[in-house]
Order: sequence, then C-alpha cells, then structure tokens
Amino acid sequence: MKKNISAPFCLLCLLSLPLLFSSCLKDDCRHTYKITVPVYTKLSALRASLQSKAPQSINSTGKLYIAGNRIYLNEPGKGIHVIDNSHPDHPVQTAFINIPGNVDMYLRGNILYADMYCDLAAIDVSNPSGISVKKFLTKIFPDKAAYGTSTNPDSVNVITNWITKDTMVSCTGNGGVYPVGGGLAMSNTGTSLTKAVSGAAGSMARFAAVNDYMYTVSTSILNVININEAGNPLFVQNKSIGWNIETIFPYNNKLYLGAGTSMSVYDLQNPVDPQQLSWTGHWCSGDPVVADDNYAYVTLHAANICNSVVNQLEIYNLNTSSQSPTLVKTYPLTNPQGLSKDGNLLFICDGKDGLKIFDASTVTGLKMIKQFSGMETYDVIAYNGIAYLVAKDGLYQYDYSNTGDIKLLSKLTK
Amino acid sequence: MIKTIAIAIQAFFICSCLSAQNAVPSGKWKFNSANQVGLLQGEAHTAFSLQSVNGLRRGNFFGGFGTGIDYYRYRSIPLFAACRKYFGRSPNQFYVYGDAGINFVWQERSTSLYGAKETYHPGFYGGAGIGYKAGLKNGMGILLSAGYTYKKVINVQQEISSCPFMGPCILSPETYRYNLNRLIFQLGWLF
Repeated sequence: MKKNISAPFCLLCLLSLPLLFSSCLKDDCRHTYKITVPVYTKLSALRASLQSKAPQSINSTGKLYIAGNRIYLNEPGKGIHVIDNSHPDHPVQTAFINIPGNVDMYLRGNILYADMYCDLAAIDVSNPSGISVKKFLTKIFPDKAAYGTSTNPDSVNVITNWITKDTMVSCTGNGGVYPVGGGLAMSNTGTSLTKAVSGAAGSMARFAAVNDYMYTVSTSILNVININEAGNPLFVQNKSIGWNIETIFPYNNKLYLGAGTSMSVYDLQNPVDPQQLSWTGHWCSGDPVVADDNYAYVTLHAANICNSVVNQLEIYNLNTSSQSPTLVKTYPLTNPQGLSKDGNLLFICDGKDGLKIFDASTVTGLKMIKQFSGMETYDVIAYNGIAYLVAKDGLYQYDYSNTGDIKLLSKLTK
Repeated sequence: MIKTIAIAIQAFFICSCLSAQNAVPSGKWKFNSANQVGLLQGEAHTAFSLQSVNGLRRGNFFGGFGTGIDYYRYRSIPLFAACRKYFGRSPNQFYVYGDAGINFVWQERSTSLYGAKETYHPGFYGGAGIGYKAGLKNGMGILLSAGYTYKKVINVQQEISSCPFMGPCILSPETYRYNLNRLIFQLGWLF
C-alpha cells in the first residue's frame, strides 16, 4: 500500500517539474522588412549636369511633345531625346538633353520647360546640340527636394536615388500581425493632350499652357507660371487642388484634371487663379482625360494605386444644365492608358492590346475601325494626320490621313 | 492549469491500479499507436492539442511518425518523426521521447482591401519530454507525459503600394518569424 501511494506522488512531482520553468518560456518574434533610405545630391551639381549630348539609344520611354518637325521624347529620370521628324517615315535622333530627374515637358517657341527634380528649367533648344539654360525656378516641385527653406542650390539637397536595405527587429505589441503599411509612392509622372501654340502634348502630361500661363500639377498642387516672356518664366502661385492628381488637359479656356478618383474642371477666366467648376468622382484608377466641345473622354485603368480592377473608357457630357459633367456611356477595355482625339477619331492606348482607333462620331456607339497590336502602348498624340505613339519599346508613327487606310510610317525602337 | 493536470494524473493512476500486469515482449516488432490530447502552456496562452503517433516498437525502443493539430497562437498541423525509449521491463514504464519535423500553419489565406497578401510558410517543429505508461491488457496502455515543444511560424505579408502610370511599383514584403516555446502535458491511449 505504501508503494502504491509513493509511486503516484513521485510521478506527479516529476511531471509537474516542468511547471517550475514555465515562466522561463518566452515566445520570440523577428520582424524582417526592407527600409528605403534616400540618396541626396546637391541641386547645384544637378544643374551643372543639364547639357546636350550626342544622340543616345532609347532605353525606356516616357512622355512626348510634338513641335514642328521635332519630336521630344522623354526618357524617365534621364532626359529628353530630340528627334528630327522632317521625314516621318524616317525619323532621326539628333541629340539627347541630359536632364536628371526629368519626367514632364512643355515647349513655347524655342524654350523648353522641363522639370528637373524640384526645379523647373527653361531651356533654349533652338540648337538641340548646343542648348542653353535660360532660367531655373527653384522648388516648383517641393515634394522632390529635401525639407528646408533655402533656395541656394548649394544648400538644397535633392533625393536622386533610393537604397534599399534589409532590416530585422524584434516584433513589438501584439506580435507583429498587422496589415503592413508603407511602401513608397514616388510622386510625379503623368501627362495630357494639349494642342498648344507651338505643338502638342500627350494625354498623360502634367504640364499645359493657355495663352501666357503655364500650369503644372503634382500630386496635390497646381502651379501657375507666367511664360509671357518665354525665357524668363515667373512663378505666380500654387494652390491645393485635392490629392492624387495625375494629368492636366487644357481645352476651351478650361483645365481638365485627371485624378485617381475623380475628374475636375477648372475655369480660366482669371488665368492666374483657376477656379474649380466641377468635380466628378469615379472608380479609383489611373485616369488620363481629353475633351472636345461636347464630351470628355476618360480612360480608367486598373492600377495598384488602390488595387482597382476597372479598365474602361468613360464618356462624359460637358453640355449639361448643371455644372457637373454627366456620364454618357462606358466601354470596357483591357488596360487603357493615354488617349487622343482628332475629329471623329478616338485613339486609345490599350496597354498590351496595342493601339485601338475608334470612329467616335456617335459617342453612344463607338466603332473600332483599326487595331495595331504587338506592343505595349502608353500614350498617343493624333496631330495633323499622324498618330505619334509611345510604346514600351519605342516611338511609332501612323498615317491616319486616310481613315480607310491607316498605316505604320515608322518605328524608332530600342 | 495545475489543478487540471493533478486531476488527470489521479484519474490516470486509478486506471493504472486497475490494469493488468502484462510483461513487455522483447525481440519482436510490434505496431504501436499512441493517441493523445494535450494542453500547451506558453507565454501567450494555454491551448489545446491533439496528436497521433504511429510506428513500431521493439523491446524498449519505439520509432514512428506523428501528426496532429496544435492550436497555440496559430492553428497548425505538425508532421514529425518520433522516437521513444522505455525503461524497465514491467508493463508500467517510464519513458523519454523526442520529436522533430515540420509545422504547417492551417490558416485562411487573406487578401485585404488594400492589396495586402498574407501567406504562411512551413517551419521547424520539435519537442522532447518524459512520460509514464500504465500497461493494460494486450499491450495497451494509458500514457501520461510532460515536456517541451517548439514550433516555428513564418508569416509573410506583402502590400502592393501605389504604382501610378510608369512610376515605380514598390512591393514591401514583411516577414515575421515566430519561435514559439511551450510546455506540453498529454494524456493518451496506447494500443
């Protein structure tokens, strides 16, 4: 009997022994993620590097500007390819203008306005091989410069690169099971179709001009710049215009702004202080916009910006009794990007589906009359019978002077 | 927790006293299946577990494979190799055990409204401890054990951040590696 009592007691003690150490057991969690740190460059050093260079191969394509016989094609972050287009069936690269951080551009006469990180540069391009910088406007795009009040180019630091590093820390709080936040949304990019005094820009442009004023948009700011004296641009003012602004398109003394979730129209009766006329919301998506006398055409493409899946063309009636445009019709597309309209022809870059050309004489019954595929398209300018198409692999030109026989004229690819 | 274990051990000994006293066969391979319920005690909380270990016994050695379900912090399915060493020749025996294998998290894969994707990857699973087998008829028995067990959970969360037009798309994968240390108390049936 004594044995039977002592055995369970011993076993109980033995098996309970680990409980003495239970408080020693700790859960451990390691959180690994990437951090991105900026690389700064002095603004003065960047300005010194703005110069003409010999023609270079096109490695990546961005925005486009057409002026006379010249095509200005942006290479994002690097500069602008200058292309002599005297013979559209045989374009020739004549120079490359090295402009670090450049994404957008606009041309007035021989003066090219280009962004260079936080600066706006006014460049005389009458001789593309020997450009001269007329003026810099500093911190026009402040989101691309480090914080600080100085405008001295030797004191202004510009973020020119990012370095990513792996980092590991101990988890905190509830053990680290959170929806992750963050990532870095680079500002800038974008474009718009602007038939201006001296040329045409694409629908993805962020620079546009009406008469003596140029307007530029960043994600939430509209800048007004007086370009009456082309070589001496003067900053007038900037105003807050919402958020996630992507494109600007001037038409009929109005500005059409495409944003991630809306299209808004600004009136230019007072050109130094544009006033909002209307705001029309839509699905969260990337959305360049063009307009004619009666309708605005907006392409929405699925973008990671809000995990949207909407890919369509939306057509809005601008001649409504109320000030807000009203939606007329939507057309499903694959991944529409830039678009352009000339007469009754509507050109739409539909991503990997290529270029689609529609007869838009009746907006409620668009008819596709031609499709060119085989390239991933980004933006298009239809101007004077030639469609200038920016695709991922280069610049294409199509002759649409005969709508029954739209044909490829040339391609300038990587 | 201690009260629960004490009650389980008392019940275990009542069964043990009533059990038949069969000798342990030696030199022959014999299939064994041990099926246990358990309590996991860790820093975070107390959780429930189930295990089934199946294999062959020869003399005082046992080797096999096990699986189960483990509800500590992340519900998971461990798959592991198991070994045991029994002591003595009577039907009632102490034993030590060791397990090693892989832990698979059994969670729903989720995607948030904002594009965050959450995935789990397999991690190491292991454990060791001591136990007591109260022998019953025909080689069956009741098992009581205590020990330490570890499981690793690897959770990767990835968010797709803003990617307007031709701007850079930045994916920000974040990895959480959990090292979960627990005590385990198990009661089971051996046949």
